[in-house]
Amino acid sequence: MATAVSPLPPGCSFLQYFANGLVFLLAMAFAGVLLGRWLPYPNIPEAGEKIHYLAAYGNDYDTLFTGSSRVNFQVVPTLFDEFLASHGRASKSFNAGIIGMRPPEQGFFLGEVLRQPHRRLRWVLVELTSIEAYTPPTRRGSARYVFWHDGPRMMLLGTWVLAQWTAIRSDASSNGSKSHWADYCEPVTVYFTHLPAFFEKEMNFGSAAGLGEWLRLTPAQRAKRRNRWAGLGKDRDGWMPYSINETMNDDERAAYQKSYEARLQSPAVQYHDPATDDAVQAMSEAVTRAGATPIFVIPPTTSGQQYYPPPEQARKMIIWSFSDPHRYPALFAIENRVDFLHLNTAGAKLFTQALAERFLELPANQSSKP
Amino acid sequence: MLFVEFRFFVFFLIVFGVHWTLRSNTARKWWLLLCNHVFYACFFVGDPSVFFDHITHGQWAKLPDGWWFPVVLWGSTCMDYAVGLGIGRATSIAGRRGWLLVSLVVNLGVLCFFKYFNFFIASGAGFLGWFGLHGSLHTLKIILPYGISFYTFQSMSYSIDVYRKRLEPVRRFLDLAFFISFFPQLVAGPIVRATVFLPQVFEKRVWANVDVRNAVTLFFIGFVKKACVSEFAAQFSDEFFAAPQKYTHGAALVAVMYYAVQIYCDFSGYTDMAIGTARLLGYDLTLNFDFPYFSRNVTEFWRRWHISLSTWLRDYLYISLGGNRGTKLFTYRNLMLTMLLGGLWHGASWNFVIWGGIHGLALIFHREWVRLTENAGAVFKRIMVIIAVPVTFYWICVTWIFFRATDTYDDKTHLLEATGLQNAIAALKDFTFISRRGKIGTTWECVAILAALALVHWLNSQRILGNGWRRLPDWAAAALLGVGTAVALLFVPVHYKPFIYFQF
Repeated sequence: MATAVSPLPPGCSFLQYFANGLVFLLAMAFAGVLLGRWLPYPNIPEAGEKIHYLAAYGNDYDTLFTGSSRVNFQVVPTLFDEFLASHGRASKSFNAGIIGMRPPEQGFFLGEVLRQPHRRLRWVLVELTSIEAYTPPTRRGSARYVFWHDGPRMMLLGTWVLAQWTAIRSDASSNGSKSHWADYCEPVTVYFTHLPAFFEKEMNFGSAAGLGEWLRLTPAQRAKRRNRWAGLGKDRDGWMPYSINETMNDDERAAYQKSYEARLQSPAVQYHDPATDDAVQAMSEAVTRAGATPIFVIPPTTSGQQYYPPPEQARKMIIWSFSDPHRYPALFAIENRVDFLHLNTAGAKLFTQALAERFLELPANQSSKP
Repeated sequence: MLFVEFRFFVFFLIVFGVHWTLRSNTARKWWLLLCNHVFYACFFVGDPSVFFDHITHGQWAKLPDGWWFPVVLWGSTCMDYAVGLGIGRATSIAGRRGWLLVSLVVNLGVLCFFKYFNFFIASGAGFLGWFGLHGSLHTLKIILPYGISFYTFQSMSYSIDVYRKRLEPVRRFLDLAFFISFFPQLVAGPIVRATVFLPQVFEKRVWANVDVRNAVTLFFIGFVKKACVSEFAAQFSDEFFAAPQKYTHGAALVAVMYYAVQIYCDFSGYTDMAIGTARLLGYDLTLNFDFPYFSRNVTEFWRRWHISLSTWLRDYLYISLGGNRGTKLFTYRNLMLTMLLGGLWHGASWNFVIWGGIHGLALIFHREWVRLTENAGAVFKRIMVIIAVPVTFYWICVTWIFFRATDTYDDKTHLLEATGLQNAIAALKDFTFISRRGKIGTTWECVAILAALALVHWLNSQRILGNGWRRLPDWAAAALLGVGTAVALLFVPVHYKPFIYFQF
């Protein structure tokens, strides 16, 4: 192909080169964004399976659960539906939780979930957790990591940087010292680590790279593969039991016991930050726009700190906190736990039941849908 | 650092900006020489801060494998610089020959040691094993320096051309070092002759002579070929070659053709990017591919495939062996030797020797065929015109099966693990309709994409796409390139495979 391009008369000015370069970049960005809107959700393990499943069967469900492993492993939709049915309330729910998913990714994934068909959707239970701006190098570069880096998520990370700067400034002024410029650089460095992923995402890097593999399959093989929902659990309700050891060793038990006793003494310190506030607000609005009601859930943990929105924001939200050992002692019993953040399968069933009980408190006809 | 990596674009922007900002030719050459070594270092340094930390603390054992690669490159350059000056100063033919001999022995010795030592040891042990002799021959842990096959041939071409009085010896070491290490062609060619490149080194490059659209387009085409088409085709061929016996004839036909596409796009794509990069810096590199799959016979194929290597082998090996200045048998011997050694150049494995050998046989057959059919009738010649290209392409695909079949050696027994050749034979049986064992077929989409690729390639060979492109105004070309880049990025796998030709 080397000979296919004939030489052109040279003689462009610097300004012309600059203008042509700009046209190139604009055309690339525009085409990338357009293509991104048209492309389907990629085959990301677990997350992709859940999205593709909802694309096919999303209209069947009226209740969705989203969040991290504290939702994925701890909410059993089949059990939830059975419990509600035994109390005379029909429900069909799906667990759209994904391991390690916190804002900003959580908001992106929720948006993708709500883009799927959802004619019957009434309730979306969202785990309330704080933003995770720093991603360790070992977790960067996966398709899942790259894919959530869209414009709104980068804006959210920008908000996080500004909030960090404000915190550094206020810390310095409260201590009466001068803040160091290096302290301000740290959040910016974190932001920069996300830029390659943003570029890859917006330019749809490798979105069609697996096309060859798909084209090799016969139509029958494709249909078979489409219906292989391995990440959805045996009941296809999105719940996966823990694949690791569900009991604690002596050291882990001692550490858990210590944190548990601390929570019995005093509740977790509540905090909020502008970036998470924005992320939560955006998720709430997205669910409402989809015609459903958002319910924010704080799963049972013995962490010393717990994100909670500022009062003026919290007043407009439904927030259910299960992180209270006095009110939910069974959820904190050592035999029902894997660690201070997670429940085991027995604990998951209790947590699901507790969720369903709270759910029964809601009026059966409450819905933002007409 | 691969041309398709993001960091290359950052690297090149800096190289390009500083290069054209500098005024003197010498300063530019020093700058590019530095960049050549930074580019080369990126292949083995890993994390630069860790690398320099090890150096400053004298922790040589912790340095990554290959930290000494530049020493081999510089050694080869220094030696050929001295040889060039030696030949220039020698007053007798014997003296000139002596200097040339030094260059050949050292260059080929280094190449043989790094590339072929273990191969010869393992093959020798295997050969002795046939006679029941199990000697204690030990292989060495040798890492092949990147690009050694390419820069050794370039370096040798300089010494041979000075010896043949086609070139004056270079007086300034900088010029030769810059020529041998020029980064666009350093690790995977094209093999640029000293007679082609050195005159460009002596003259200051002028920006007004750079055809930017041509260079950028060439780079883009190369990028698409390597990062999209080659990687895409690999998905088909890799699976087939892993277990060829599972596939039907039709699937084998399609998969081997995809491999032909893969290897062509991989190597010619890299070359296009190298030529485009060099042109943006004001230098012209040798054309390396000229639509080889549209060749009408195998002789023509070798005039259009990896042109820089085939002409190098012709001028420095085939002609040195006597070429066709003798009996027919003598000519065929030279042809066969050249192709066998050319095959071996591609890698230290018998499958490459077999590949070279069957190409040698095909070249001999073609010569005889031409002689036997030169008085054939018009109808015969018309039929040949129609079937020549598909038959040649089919033959080339057959040879690619051997090229693909890399064998492994058992470190303990020193015996050949002939899994590669076994797979090649299984693939060959499928591809040539000799036996049918497998059940996995192909889909019409795979065939349609192959046909579409062939159509685009044909349109390009007819200059149809190029002519339309040339007529576009600059802004439209820039916009189309932008859209094209956005589409191309869809097919870029996040984790790249290394270039196939890097192993050579």
